[in-house]
Amino acid sequence: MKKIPIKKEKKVIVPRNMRPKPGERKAMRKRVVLSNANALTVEGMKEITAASLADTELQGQVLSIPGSIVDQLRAVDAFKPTQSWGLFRQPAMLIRDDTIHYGKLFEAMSEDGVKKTVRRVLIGERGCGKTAMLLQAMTMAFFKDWVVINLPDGMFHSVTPRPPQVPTD
Amino acid sequence: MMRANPILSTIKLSFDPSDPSSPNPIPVPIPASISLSRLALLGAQDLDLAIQIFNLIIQELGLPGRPRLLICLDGLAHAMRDSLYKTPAFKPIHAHDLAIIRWFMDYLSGTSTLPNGGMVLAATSGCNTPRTPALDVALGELEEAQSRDPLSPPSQPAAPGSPSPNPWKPPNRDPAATYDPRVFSVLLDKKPGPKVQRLAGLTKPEARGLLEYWARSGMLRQRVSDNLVGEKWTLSGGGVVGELERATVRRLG
Repeated sequence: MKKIPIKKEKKVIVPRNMRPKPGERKAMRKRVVLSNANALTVEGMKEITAASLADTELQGQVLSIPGSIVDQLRAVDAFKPTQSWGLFRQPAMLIRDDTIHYGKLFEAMSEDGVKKTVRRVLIGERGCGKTAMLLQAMTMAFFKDWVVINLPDGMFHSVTPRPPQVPTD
Repeated sequence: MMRANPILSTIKLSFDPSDPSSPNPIPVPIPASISLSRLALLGAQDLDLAIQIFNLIIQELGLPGRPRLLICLDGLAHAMRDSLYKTPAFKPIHAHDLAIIRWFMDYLSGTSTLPNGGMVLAATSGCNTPRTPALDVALGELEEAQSRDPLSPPSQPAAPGSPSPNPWKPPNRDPAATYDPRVFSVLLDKKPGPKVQRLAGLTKPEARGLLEYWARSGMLRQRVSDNLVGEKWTLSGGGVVGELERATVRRLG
């Protein structure tokens, strides 16, 4: 019987210089996308101002977050990759009744001479908006010129003891 | 911290840090009137000095006339149990022994105060949460004590139409079980303890506002009618935002 020559397939070897550099995969995993060019721009969407977060007239509306505040929120890791910020054109948030409660609290606490300390633990079911509530509180603090320190992940901070969020330029 | 808080660049240090008699001497020469944001940058670049510089910044922010502080922690359950670190004798190290968590817990319990006022917020996480029976019991007791106090923050009652009784009811303290005493010492020992705020689902008008935003962004392809709002609100267990997203914009169909 004549032997049919069978070509052995050559193994495809990825050249070393094409592998992702160390840290690249982690960065891809943890990246936060805040804008989607395919989403429509919502006409007439208002932007949040310092006073709008305590305004009961705006309850139930979605307002967009100003760009400078978005940069500050991104720097403290307020946005999480598992949230759906990347579906929409620009980051926006819903004013719910808890937002207005915190808005009024921030206004009261930011008045001259008031040195109140408020300590709260937010609980609730999965997906009810606890992390989003923290983000809204941070937004209000940035508007009122407070200093914000965020520990975005308790697991990370209980595994890696280092000072929080001191990013290098 | 430096990038997020531009106000830190307007605050200068109040004393000369290289002076050995000052309360917090830093071994590296630092100019006397450095701004706090440059100090934070120095701390970011040098890991050995980082914790000292951090303590210095916090101390500076406690002086009168400085801005107020908001401190947030997400994923509280991870910070309320043993961490993954081990001592040289291979005993687990409790999270409360780690620098940053200890710092935060002192503020949450009220042991450290914020001289200029401010807010300390901790949030639990629904997913990615280890089992922490002590935390559940402590939060349950705090919530119960609060329900008797008329000045507590508005924990939302169950929205009208949502199923009752509340299926998520924290357990009572089991006399036969052993609980982590350090969790109790942070949350329960010092009176008044931190307040517990339970976030519930959205109301129907709020859910409607959100659905309309999604529709106007092109992510929701259906007409937003009362029927749709009611349907999605019910499917999300009474307006729970994450479930609302899953029922509408996160669907592939």
